[in-house]
Amino acid sequence: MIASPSDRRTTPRWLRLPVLLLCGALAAYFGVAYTYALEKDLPDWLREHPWSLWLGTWQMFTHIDPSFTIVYADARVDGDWHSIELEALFPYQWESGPRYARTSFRRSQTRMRTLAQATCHRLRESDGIRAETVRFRAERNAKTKGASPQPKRRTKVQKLLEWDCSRSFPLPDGEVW
Amino acid sequence: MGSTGNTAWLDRLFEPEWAGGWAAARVVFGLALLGTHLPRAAGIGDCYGVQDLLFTMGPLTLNEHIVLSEATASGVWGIGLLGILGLLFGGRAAKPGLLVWFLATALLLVNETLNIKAYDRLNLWLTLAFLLAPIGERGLQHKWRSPVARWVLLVIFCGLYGSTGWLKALKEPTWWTNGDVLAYHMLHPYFGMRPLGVWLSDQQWLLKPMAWTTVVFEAAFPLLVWWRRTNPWLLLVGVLMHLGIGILMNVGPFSYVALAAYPALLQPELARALYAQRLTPGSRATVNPEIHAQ
Repeated sequence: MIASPSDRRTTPRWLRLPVLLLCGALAAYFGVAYTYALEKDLPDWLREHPWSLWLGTWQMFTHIDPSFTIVYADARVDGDWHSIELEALFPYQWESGPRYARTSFRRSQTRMRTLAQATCHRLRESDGIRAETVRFRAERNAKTKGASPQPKRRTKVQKLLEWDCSRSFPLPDGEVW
Repeated sequence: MGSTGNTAWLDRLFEPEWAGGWAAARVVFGLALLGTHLPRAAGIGDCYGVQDLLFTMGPLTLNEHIVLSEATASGVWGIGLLGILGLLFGGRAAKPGLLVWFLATALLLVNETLNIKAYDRLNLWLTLAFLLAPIGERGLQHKWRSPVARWVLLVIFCGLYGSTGWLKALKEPTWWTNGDVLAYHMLHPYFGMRPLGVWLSDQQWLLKPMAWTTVVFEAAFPLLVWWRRTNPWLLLVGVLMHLGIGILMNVGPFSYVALAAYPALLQPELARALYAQRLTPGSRATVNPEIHAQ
């Protein structure tokens, strides 16, 4: 048997209104985030501050996704192209895949150029390979139900970037701690 | 708590609730944070603390000011781990520990920038609720505390499930038609491709009811979780759904981060009755009639 409720405490009266306002604000934030989660026609304030609702936007696995995309890379060394094992060069993966696997990453030239520069750098540092150029492509295939591994079907190849390793791309340059 | 006139409804609203659920939630949340935090160690040297792959994103511009070295990133990770241990130890170490973990993780995430996941954002919101909860006290099984932290938790989960459920229901018709939407998610090269998920992707007779259950559960959550009669059954469906996701897909720690809050989401008097039954099977908890009447 549990003892009767002898040790009882609750929010002091002076704090109750602020607490109710906090809960209301939180509910309103989630409500607004939901309202604009998948909208293309956004109000001006949201276009100016596109990150403002990100913390409360939950659109996980909403849309159907009948194809999958894998990013591949090659390096040109002494005039010949060789395929690169990107996952060995950038080994850490999330459940969503490697860092460069996300659609938003592939669509950003800034991110792709950063990746290209890092690829040249890591090939040189870890494998002693002095690549002249690296190039990236995304291969999109239709998913096949019940199949593992997934066969390549209705493949579409998209060139993402070709990068001269002698070039330099500026990175955020904060003080190293 | 004597009250008269126009403050009586406020006193009733803020009636203390059995706090034992928070004791269980604290431990499960601590374990969920461990499950989130430990694998990050493998990312130090590739993502956190590297200088060749630096990004900024929206307001996350830390790398324009400070870049973490590998040694500093390791130290920050270690401090985060100590914070989680504090949360798990409980008592006076619980809230400072949670705050330390939160700050350390925020620093690592903002440094990495690109891969702040849904479970990272959920952890942030849960941290807010847990900081408001009485998790710094021992012996919560014998205490009744303010319902505010549980309200915050309920609002968070209504936002989470409600958003994703109603977006599915209204914006993607295939959730209602043939279950293909689930099949294709189970075939995602990273989130999916689990053996059982691959098999299931070709079993439309199973996919349809699973898709419907998912949408109905998520969309109905904000309506049914507040009602005492439906609260435990709804949470039971939630447990099954998250376990199913955990088996069929690779969504990282999302499932157990979400489940970590369930002991505190359970209607407190029902949780208390369950706790009493666990102590002395066959017995019934002494229910505060004032609370029971709500």
